[in-house]
Amino acid sequence: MDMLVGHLHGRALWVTELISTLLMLGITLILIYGSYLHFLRAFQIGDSSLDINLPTWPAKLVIPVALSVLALRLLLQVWGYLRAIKQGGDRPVAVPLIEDAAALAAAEAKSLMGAEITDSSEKNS
Amino acid sequence: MSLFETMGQMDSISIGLWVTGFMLVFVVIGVRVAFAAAMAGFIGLLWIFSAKMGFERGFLVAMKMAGTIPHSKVSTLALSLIPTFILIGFLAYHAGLTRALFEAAKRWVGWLPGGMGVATVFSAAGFAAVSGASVATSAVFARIAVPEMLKLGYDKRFAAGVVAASGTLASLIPPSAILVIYAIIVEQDVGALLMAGFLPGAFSALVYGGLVVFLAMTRKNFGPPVRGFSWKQRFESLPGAMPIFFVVGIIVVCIYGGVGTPTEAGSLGAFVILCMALYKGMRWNELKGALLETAKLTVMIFTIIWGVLLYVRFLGFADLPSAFSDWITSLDQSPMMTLVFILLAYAVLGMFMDAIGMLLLTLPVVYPAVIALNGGDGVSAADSAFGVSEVGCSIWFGIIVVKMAEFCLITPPIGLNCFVVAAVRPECSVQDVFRGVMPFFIADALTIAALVAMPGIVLWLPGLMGFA
Repeated sequence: MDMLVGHLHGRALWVTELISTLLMLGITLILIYGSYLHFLRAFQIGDSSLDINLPTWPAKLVIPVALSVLALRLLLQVWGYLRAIKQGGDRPVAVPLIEDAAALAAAEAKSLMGAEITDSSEKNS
Repeated sequence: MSLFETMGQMDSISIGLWVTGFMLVFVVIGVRVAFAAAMAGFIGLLWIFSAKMGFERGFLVAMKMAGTIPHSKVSTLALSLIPTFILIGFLAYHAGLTRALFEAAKRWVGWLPGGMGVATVFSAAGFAAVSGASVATSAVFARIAVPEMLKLGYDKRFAAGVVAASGTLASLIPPSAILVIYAIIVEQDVGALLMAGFLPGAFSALVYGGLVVFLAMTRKNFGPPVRGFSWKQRFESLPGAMPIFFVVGIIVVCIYGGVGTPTEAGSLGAFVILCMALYKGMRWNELKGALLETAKLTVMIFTIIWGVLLYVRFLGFADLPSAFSDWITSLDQSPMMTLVFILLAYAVLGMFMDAIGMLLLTLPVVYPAVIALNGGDGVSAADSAFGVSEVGCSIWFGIIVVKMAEFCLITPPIGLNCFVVAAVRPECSVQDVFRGVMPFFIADALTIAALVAMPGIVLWLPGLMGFA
């Protein structure tokens, strides 16, 4: 679905990306609080699994913690896009760049080179 | 009347339509599928609860409900199968399987007309099945098989086409992560889906192989067969390729024979491939890489799953799926015609989206409609529109949409497999690959038609297990 956005360039692209990143940040923050409440409930009533009485709260705590890390990452991206909007330019730092099908395929092929090399060297040895 | 009052008075179906519209807008402006679905789901829950109990309480209820979903949905036992399948895939690159398989296939089927092409189809099918990655399989085989075919004087477009098409055999033959995801979304038995994929996958590979033989016999400029392998050489080539048969075999035997759960089968498969990779000289660095890649892909898939399930939770309140089902069953045309239109819509959508995102976003609404088209819950095969029972229909439709999603990888203008082959082989342009893949494209369309017309191909194995 990156095709449509992929046609944008420069500031127009960074503004769109900033908006979508802010939306993602918003839902992440809401989910952090929601999943924290989910954890808190399990923690306060001492909820445990049915069979061997393992407490369930550690697993539930993973969610808000993981989402918090994601929120930090998204904050960094927001900063990166703001910086890109201010400075212009084609390849800003600290943000994921959108690639078209050809570039994506090239990247995929390149990432497989490593695995392929070990494969062929094995044959020679 | 203010905007909020208007919003508060909407019926649940219009809310469902609005929220689904928001989700599509989010996806189009570049929000990742998982977050677009999660956001739409939350907005929908917020809307519905706010209309009932005011904004502040509604917000709290919606937030609490949304907050439970990432944990409760991801801690399902069936999902633990997915990382094992992905790990099998990433370890497979290090187990020296690609060349061993190609060599074995060359010795066994090379004598056929267009033998090298047939060998490519079967070895790529085997590797794709285990790695579960279409695009990556095409990339790897473009590197291994295309040079050998060119050496024998094969047409370069044809060679590239064979490789691009063969990669698409990844998703049907078990182990298949995408079929597991489908099974979880539609709440169907994972084992039944995995078994159901086996025959259609093998059937597709045979169709491709037959097509290569046919083309090689009817045209002059296609490559000669490779002869002169003794039976001794043939059997010598087998051990290197064994892990593939072993992994597929373990999964089929465990599930079909009821020996173990799918998760146990997947873990055992991963263990075998790990041993093989260690034996072939994989060291800590490669293992670390494979584990990290597995974690990344698993997180990506799980995120999409809970994001979409958040949207599904909202859909349950909004009644949208049943409204859509009612509409689609009331259409004044044969159910089969409607099904064909649905599949064509997938063909178009698949050009713009990856398979997992496409299936997860659409299935919550489309799947109940297909079941309703067939005759609804608990219908028997005799009374149904497609000649399959309710369970049979859900398995059959799953196989067809997954095949459809793979089909989109070789569809012009942006079939990713064709791009990746062109990226690996500098002597082929993207146009060359698309022209070379054309015969396979047509063969695939016919295969899908055959699967639609003859559900028996899909449902025979699950039927033996007691499904259908």
